[in-house]
Amino acid sequence: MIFFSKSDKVTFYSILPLVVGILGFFLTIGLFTAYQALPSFMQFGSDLLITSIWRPADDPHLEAYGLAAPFIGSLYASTLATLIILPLSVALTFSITEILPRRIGGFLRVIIEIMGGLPTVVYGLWGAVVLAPYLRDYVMKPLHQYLGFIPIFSCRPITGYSVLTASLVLAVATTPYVTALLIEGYNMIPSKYKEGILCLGATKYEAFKLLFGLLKPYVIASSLLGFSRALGETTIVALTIGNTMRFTLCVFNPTHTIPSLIASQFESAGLYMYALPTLFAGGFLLLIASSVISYVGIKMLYAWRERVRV
Amino acid sequence: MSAYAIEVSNLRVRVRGLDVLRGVDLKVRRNTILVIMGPSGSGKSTLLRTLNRLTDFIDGINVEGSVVVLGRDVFTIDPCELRRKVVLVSQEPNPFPHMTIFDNVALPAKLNGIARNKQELYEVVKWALEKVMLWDEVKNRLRDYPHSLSGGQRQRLCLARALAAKPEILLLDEPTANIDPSNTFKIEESLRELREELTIVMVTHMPHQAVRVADHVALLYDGIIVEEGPAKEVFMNPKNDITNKFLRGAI
Repeated sequence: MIFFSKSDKVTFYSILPLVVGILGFFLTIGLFTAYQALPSFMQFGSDLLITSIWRPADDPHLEAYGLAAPFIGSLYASTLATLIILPLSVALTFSITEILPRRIGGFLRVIIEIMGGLPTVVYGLWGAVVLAPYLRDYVMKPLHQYLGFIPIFSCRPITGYSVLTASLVLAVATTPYVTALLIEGYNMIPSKYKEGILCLGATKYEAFKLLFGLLKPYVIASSLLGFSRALGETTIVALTIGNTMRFTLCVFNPTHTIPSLIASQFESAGLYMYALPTLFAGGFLLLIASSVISYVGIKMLYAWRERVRV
Repeated sequence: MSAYAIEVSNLRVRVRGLDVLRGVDLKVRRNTILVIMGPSGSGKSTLLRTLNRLTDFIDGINVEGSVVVLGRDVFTIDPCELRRKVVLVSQEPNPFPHMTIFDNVALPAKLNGIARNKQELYEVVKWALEKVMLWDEVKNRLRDYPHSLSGGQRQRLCLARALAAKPEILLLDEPTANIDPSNTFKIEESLRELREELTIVMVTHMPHQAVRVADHVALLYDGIIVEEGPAKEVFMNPKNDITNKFLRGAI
């Protein structure tokens, strides 16, 4: 039983509408998206999840939609991006917190924070105009030529707009966010542990490695949050992934993600009976995936905070 | 080989413009326990941290003077190498919470390359835990995490961790300040035994603790050593008025 003092009661009842409002807003978005998606789920059932097709038609009986490719494409591109983000962010965190002189590290941190706040369309344009042709000529073609026997490099790169390009640009755009989280987490480690390891004669690298072990759940949680952010990213992916309704393991192929599908089809979707509900269905799938991943990440963060309090 | 493990002369430390140590001269004989006493803010911890260059991590610090440890100038040798021989145990117990009891103690042995295989590592861990009288209490739960230990046990674990580095000098910064009398007794007992194997410099603000463990004592006051000598001599017949006042609890 919770006992409140009179002033605490006033505070409690003052913030209650805000708490209820946030919960209500979250539920409303979820329920609204699900409600809007319902016609598509009813019409196409499990085909919506296991087929990859986007066929709008004036006659609703001829319409056919399947979201497997963009949904898997979303997960694939975000996973690849996270695999790039993680080592980059750890290396940047180590450099800024332990290696670089304080002033240079501080300056780099400011740059990273500015990069984290840049409009994603800037990254998207850079990816589409500069990175995609460069990657095609100097990375994808050699990889395909020499390592084409590996399934992820097995297809011939054509335009450069591909899962690889999208993942790289996503990684560049999301690394500042994850790095900022890691630096904050690393700086939160009580100084007694840092002193403890340095007292034993550890080098900066050994100390960082040990202290990062202390941060492991936090690192995983930050990666999941980064993954979640990449999963929902629209502009970058729409400009760099090639927007094709198919999925293969090969990273040189174009594909779609749910956000890129929504961005590219929304304008005309209202003309067809099931196109818009299908886009809502995609949004709903993304909302579920993103919520689950964020929830897992946040739970891990809480678990870590409990642990380092020892 | 010099008879002294530590030789400090005219050590001056200034932190952000504030004089913390103002010309400290100190010699510590090998295999003895020197206890540095003094009121809070007298510079005891700074002096201790200068001996293994933990002061390197303090912003705006300026150190002058000579500190020779184990025959080598501490400012010219690799600080990591120095800290592997001159290990410090802090006032607050700080076992690594994400590592088991065993791994905590094994860590410095791995860092220093002391153990070549698992059996040797186990022997080092056992030896270190026995030295601090913790082995019997934890031998059946070496895979537990340190949060399952009491505060005093955690501090003894940190002492064992320091010993597992096989240091030649052990620096202790008020190691019993936050723990109960029973654990304090065990730590003091361990220190008296360890004197045979290494040199110990301990900081405390409790004169009665110095009486129990010290071979030599030094009284630091306002950044200067006002008196030092064999423990019995200083306690029985203090020559300096400040020492007298400190021992009577007047400062």
